Amino acid sequence: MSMTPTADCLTLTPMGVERTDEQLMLAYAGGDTVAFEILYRRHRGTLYRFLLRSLRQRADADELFQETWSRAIASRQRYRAEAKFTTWLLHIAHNLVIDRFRRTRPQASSEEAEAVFRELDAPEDERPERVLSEFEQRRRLQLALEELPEEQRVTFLLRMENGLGLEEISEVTGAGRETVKSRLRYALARVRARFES
Amino acid sequence: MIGDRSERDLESLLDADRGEFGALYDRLSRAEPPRRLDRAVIAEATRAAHGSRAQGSQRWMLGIGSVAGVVLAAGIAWQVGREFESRDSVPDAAPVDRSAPQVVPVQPISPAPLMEEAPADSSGRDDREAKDPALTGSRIRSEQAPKPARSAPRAAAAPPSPPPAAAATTIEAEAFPQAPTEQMPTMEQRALEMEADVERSRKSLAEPQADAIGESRERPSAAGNSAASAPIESAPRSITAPSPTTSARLRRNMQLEPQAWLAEIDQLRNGGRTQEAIENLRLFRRMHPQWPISEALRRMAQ
Repeated sequence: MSMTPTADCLTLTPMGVERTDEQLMLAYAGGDTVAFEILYRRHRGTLYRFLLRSLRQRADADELFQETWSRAIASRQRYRAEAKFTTWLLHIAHNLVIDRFRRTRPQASSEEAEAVFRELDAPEDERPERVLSEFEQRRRLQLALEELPEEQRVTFLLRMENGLGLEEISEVTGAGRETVKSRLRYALARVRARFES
Repeated sequence: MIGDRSERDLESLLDADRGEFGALYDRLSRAEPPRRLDRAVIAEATRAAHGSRAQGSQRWMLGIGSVAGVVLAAGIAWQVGREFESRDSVPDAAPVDRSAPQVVPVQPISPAPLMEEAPADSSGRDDREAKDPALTGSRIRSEQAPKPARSAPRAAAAPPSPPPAAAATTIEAEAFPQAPTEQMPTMEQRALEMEADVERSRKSLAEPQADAIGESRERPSAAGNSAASAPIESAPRSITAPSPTTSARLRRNMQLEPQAWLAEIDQLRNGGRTQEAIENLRLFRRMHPQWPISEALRRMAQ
């Protein structure tokens, strides 16, 4: 993506330290559009992939990507540095994703997850050999992600794509810490099941 | 067993490398948002930032606009005030004493036949108006009266008034139109009382001329000749209502020192404003009976 030439220089503070997301966001709230460009460049990819893999439809991802940034722009005056920018941005995106899920289809039942665990319960020697090509591995992971129940998929993506910890995922999704752990466990079991099928 | 395994998987997932699937996940396609989305988002952010800046400047402009409006209004008020002041201070050939009651038009109290003589004096009055623009008000009023049936023989003998002065009086008359009689406040009554003495003196001056007037009705040409030969004999015009300006000037002169008043009377007489000089002298003698006056003035008074 093309950026303003001065954007790179302005990434640094006067002390030579790279400006944090929070500093950039506050600068943008004060009218510094270059700060926003830097911020956008930092997070555009991870946000887009989170949305794309959560929604599985490029058109939906495009729409919610733009909507997420629009809401961030509109809320810039209300942003406080106490909140981590990534968490704040993903919280906006997550709410949009959940809204979209609710409009499209019902949640996956917990029985489906239990079935996955029953499969995993089989002895290791009874499971198919996992000697798969690189391409096949990536394809299976892709499929596994797509087949995950929405809440588990979103939680799994927040960890894998955005690198959030339990507390941060809890903050973004609004779920309890134990709920987040449970969703991650179920998601891992399903992905493993796809690889071992 | 399942629980142990899932717990281990979770721990490895929460590690920095995100466990066994972390590296594989990173090798998935790195989808990027399309450029059109980049442009749209950046444009929206820029628009929003500039919009809020514009709103700030609009607030600033609102303040400036308000101040400018107040300054403009004050300037207009000041200019209008100056205009009024300059109107008030227009140089007047006969400045009116503003502390005194305003100009009062006095209704003629002489009999109707004498009124007919007023037009005969019009040329002489024009002469006076040319010299004294303040007299224009009385001319305007007299022009509203019915036109005289006959012209005054003296009109031909009267010297022509200088055009610039006449023009000046016209302009002045337009700029300061006299108030109509019916609009005069009760102050008029007081002014009338003040003028009573003057009127009485005028009447007494006019009575000796009554016979001459009767003659002039019968023989207009003869009357004209006599008027031309003796300005003092144009007494009938004094019987007409004195102009408000003259009355005001008379009141002003009453406040002068006796010496200065006499000088003013001399000046009126020398300026051809004999009637006004006589009125002044009569009043002077009533107010200062012991004050010596010159023989010429005494003759004029008689």
